Amino acid sequence: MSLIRDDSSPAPLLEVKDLSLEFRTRDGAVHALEDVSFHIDKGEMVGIVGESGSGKSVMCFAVMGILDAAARIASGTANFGGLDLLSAKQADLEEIRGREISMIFQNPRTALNPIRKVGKQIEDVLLRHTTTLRDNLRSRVIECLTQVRIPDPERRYAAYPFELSGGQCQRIMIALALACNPALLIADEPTTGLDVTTQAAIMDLIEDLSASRGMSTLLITHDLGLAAEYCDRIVVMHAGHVVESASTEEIFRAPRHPYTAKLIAATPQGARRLRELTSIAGNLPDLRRSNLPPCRFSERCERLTGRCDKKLVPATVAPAHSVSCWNPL
Amino acid sequence: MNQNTGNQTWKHVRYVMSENLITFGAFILFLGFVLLAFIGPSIAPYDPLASDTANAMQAPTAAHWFGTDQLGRDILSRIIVATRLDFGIAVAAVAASFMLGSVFGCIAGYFGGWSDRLVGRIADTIMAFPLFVLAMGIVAALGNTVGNIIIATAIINLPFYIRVSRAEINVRRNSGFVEAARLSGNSDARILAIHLFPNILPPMMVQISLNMGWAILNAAGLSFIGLGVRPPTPEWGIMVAEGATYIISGEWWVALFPGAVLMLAVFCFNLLGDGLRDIIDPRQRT
Repeated sequence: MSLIRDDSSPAPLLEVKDLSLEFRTRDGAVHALEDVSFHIDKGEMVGIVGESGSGKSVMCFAVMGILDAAARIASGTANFGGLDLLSAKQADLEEIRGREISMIFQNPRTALNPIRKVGKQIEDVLLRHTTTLRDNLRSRVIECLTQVRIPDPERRYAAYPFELSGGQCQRIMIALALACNPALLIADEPTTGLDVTTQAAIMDLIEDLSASRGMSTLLITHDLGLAAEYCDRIVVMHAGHVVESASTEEIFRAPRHPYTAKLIAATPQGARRLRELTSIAGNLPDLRRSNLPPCRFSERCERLTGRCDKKLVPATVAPAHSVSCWNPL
Repeated sequence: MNQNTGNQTWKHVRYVMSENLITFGAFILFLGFVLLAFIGPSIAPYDPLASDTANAMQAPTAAHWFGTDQLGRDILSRIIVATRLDFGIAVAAVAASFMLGSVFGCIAGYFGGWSDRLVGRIADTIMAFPLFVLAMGIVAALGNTVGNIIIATAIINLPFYIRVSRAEINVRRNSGFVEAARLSGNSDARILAIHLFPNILPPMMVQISLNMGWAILNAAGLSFIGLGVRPPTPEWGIMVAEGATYIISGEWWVALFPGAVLMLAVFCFNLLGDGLRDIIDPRQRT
């Protein structure tokens, strides 16, 4: 684990390579992910964007090793500080979860145990992963709660989740996730279901805490605007493929994949009017099909050419900017 | 801090009681029974086994509030002393089936697959028998001792706990907080014990309370048909059985009083269930 904490090493914190994953169902295999590759460096905030069903969450579950029993990893590696998370033993993963990699998700309300005091829930994690003495537990928890800016942490310690607002529950989740100072935080749509002001407050909090701890953050969202505001780099996913990955600035300035361009055009921005928004024609292809085209966007794409039925190879179009498209913009 | 949580729990208990007078009544009744179970033998006015043929079959009087039976034994004393045995059997049987049933049910509900099928079939097999007949069979086969009555009662109650806990665990198995617990490095055993099990306690409490009533009835029923505790041990079921022969000749008190107490005990447990659930579930504390 020393590799993870070593800031000088140039290796990325997490590198997922050629991850393919399918679900076995009664109607045949669902090819949920195909040759997904991306990496996240130390201290970086990377956004994974794509519409619902594009495989963002499944990919995180695969990395965390909590896939449904019907899922099967066909190929790929996920290198985290020298350990391949995809082939690691369950016991090793249990050590890593919550200590080195933490995760927060949407619906903070359901992610907390409804009949356990929130302070106790944070204590559970500390007891599991740290050597905090029992006498110091309470003060450590209060400290965690203070860090996520919960007002009156002494009293909130004894609160049950149903007594807190959605935003406060998410703060508790963040406190829980960060209690052991993880190297990587995976935030799976952390602001879905929260109102806009709370959303901004939660995202600012995540950004501040990541920066102050040198923690890497993987932000999963369908909200490109949110990713633009907070992420250093953006990985665009579509139907289980990574279609484009580049720095946030570059992807907004010069999107190369037609899907990215459409996605940007479909994102509401302050100055624009509703009717200026475009929508992306068509739907995600049915991932159970056996005759899926090599480019899963081709059936919705206006820039379809004869070459599009050949196997895709990600092309580096600029430094740190790669696109999987035969006819990029 | 612990002092504080203790106070809060008491405050909550008091609140539930004051909100629901029926629960309060049931709770008082329950405490009364428990008290009798503990100190019964020392407050009984007469020796429950001492026969006094000169005073046999007396209707209730100031000396014998509930009258005397065919051997002149004081019925009130016998009822009081029997409380410990009847409650003991019920509590032991319910505790055993609660523990065993929750373990089986939790495993079946959480892991699913073959463990679920195996446990489900065991529960189905037990349920396939008329339960009282099954209990009779078990006691008849093993011999009628108190221990075997407890075993028989525990076995016939097992499926209810298996089913309730299996279903309750199953609906929560994939909920967000379980996922979150797993993501913070908890093993399956820890998730089950610390996160899932406490969540299913409120519905289990209702089951326990109802079951206590049944267990008492079952123990008394076994004794009534002669397969349970043996005379002359004071036990409500035996007393009703003995008294039943005299109802026709007008000596109603021999069967009526133990029967009424038995009914009261079952009634008390049935009412207690909802109250217990409210006390255990912190979500009711608002």
